[in-house]
Amino acid sequence: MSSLIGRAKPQGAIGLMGHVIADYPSPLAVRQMIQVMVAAGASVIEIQIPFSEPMADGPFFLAANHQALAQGVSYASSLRLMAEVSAAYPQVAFVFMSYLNVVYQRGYATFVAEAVAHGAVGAIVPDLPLEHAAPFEAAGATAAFANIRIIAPNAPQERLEELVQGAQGLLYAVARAGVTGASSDLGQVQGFVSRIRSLTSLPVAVGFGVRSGADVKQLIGHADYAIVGTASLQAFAVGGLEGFQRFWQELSAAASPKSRKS
Amino acid sequence: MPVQGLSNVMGVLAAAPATPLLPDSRGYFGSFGGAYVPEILRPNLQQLDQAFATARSDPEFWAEYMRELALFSGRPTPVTPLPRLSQHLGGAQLFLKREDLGQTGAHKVNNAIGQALIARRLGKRRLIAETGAGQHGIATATIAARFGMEAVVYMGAEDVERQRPNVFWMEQMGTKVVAVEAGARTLKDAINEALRDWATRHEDTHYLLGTACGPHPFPALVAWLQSVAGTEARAQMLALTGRLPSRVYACVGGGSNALGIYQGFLGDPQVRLIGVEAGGRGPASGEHAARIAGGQGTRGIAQGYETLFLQTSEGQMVDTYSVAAGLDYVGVSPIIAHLHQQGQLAIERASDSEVVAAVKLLMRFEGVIPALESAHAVAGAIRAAAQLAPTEQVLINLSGRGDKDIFTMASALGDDSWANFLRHKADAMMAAKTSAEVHHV
Repeated sequence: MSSLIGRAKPQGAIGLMGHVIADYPSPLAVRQMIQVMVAAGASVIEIQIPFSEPMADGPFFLAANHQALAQGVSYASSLRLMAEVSAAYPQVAFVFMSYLNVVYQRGYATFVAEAVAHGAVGAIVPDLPLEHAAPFEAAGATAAFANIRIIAPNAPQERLEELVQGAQGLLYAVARAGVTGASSDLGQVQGFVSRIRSLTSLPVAVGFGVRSGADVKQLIGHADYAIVGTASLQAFAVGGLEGFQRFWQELSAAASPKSRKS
Repeated sequence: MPVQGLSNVMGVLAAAPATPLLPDSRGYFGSFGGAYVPEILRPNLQQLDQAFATARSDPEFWAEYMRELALFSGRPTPVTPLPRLSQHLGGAQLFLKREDLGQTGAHKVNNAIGQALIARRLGKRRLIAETGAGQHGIATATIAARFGMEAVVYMGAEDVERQRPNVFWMEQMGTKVVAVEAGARTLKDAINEALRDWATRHEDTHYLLGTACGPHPFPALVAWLQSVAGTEARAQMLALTGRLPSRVYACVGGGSNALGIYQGFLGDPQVRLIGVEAGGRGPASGEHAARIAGGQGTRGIAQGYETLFLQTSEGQMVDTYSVAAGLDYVGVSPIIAHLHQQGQLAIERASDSEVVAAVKLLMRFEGVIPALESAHAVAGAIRAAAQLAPTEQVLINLSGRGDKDIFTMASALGDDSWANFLRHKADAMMAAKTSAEVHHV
């Protein structure tokens, strides 16, 4: 996975990491959204396999998870989407995001094998703490499949060191307490991110509360990636594909102010 | 002469806590349990785990807990023999452990008081809780009012509709009740929402989880605090009858009242421990909450812990159902799952109709109105009693009283005069409101 996710963009820029829920709001819409994200320069994209109890997600993603399940989105359809987009956009690192029970029911080894076979390079599992992660990480190790660890800002130094030790792919730094979808004071995360960066050569991505181009700009020079989740799906919900395109153009302009693609 | 020995059979407060049921270093009881939470919640759980360890090693804590249980909740609660019902059934002698007589009318208050004491020691000023039937919510509301703490209770919107009287009282005591509209709108959704709150606001907030479920240390902590019922009941049975019951019945939702009573008898291999789950409209209906009985629950990890859940093959939790909101839960305590796996515990189920019949029998023969939740245990004991010899003694944990269920029961029994009463009350209230509005204009 490390071959796909690099560290530190050129001076004055930052990578973009996007998020979608598999086949939500529809199979067509999610494919269009991914296309827009890739065109805007997203280099890592999370595909969330919906779960009935998404405890780290705020009200917007919670409702979206339940809606996706009600529409019949399944593990199999999530794999199909992964296979399709990872083949279409080989320059992008695609990772799964889900909750542990989805992975656990499939079996760690089977999940990893299927995820890799369909083009995923890692997974983000927010309710899998380090203390219980060994079996899943062992299953991933043989396939170079990363369990992307999450670091919270309330972690004491010893915890940061534990989490960084043996981490793979990238580190997901949560900008604030709480769940997805609320805003954050991103000025406050710089010290937290630099503490992580001093411990590792892996790239550091910052998520939770990155909601605009201005937010992305604030992270330049501190984080390697800005993760945009809830705000992105909300842009689609409010403005359709056009609004979504405008939103990602704004993010793109903020992320690479000097060398914008036309 | 008539009052001689009364203090014996009334029982005394548990002088010392039961030996705590503690998990391994990973928070596991056998192969169930753990602490599967987002990283942001880790410091909260660690702080609570330390406070729990401190409380266990501090006799002052237990003494303070007993004092509060006595002065605020009237402990010890008695064991009541049921001679007329036993005779009617023609088998074993039945007894009730009267957790329904505590403050707020259910065992939930024991845990609420204990955790509020811990929260106070930690300097927390705000309590949050989930509730199903509303009994844990109302217990939390009373202790928050008593300790001068702020309280927020998360309750599935479906349960808010089913248990309006409890919502009314919680709000009157100054607790904010948040109706959770997500998912199945029941207990599991309320737990998710409380965890989200706790992830957002930790410094001043204690999550007062109401049952022996969720991430470590909650199962061990709640079971420990609830052990008072079992410790008392064992001594009371000996004082009343000179011997132990041959069976102990408890209803099992999350599992806290069951673990509370069982802990008095875990060291007595001759006592059979039996849990009764919500059979709802039957195992084939899909409308039940029987996770263990019938074997429909499968191993999974959700709500912060590993246990047997009612779920799809892809790991999505399914909607559960019970006439008793407090048993309407998709998972079960990891300690219950473990004890069952070890063969220390049998699990049965009782259907809604058996439960309603049990409520009627207990009211008619003994003048006790059980909560629909607790009536599952009564139904299990009634089913068994007739097959047992009159020399056998069966103890039932009556975890709550049934006043809150008056709407549900009246509707289950098709009581027309109750429906008329409600219509008249509603008309009168609306008329009073309209006339007040007219006067304002």
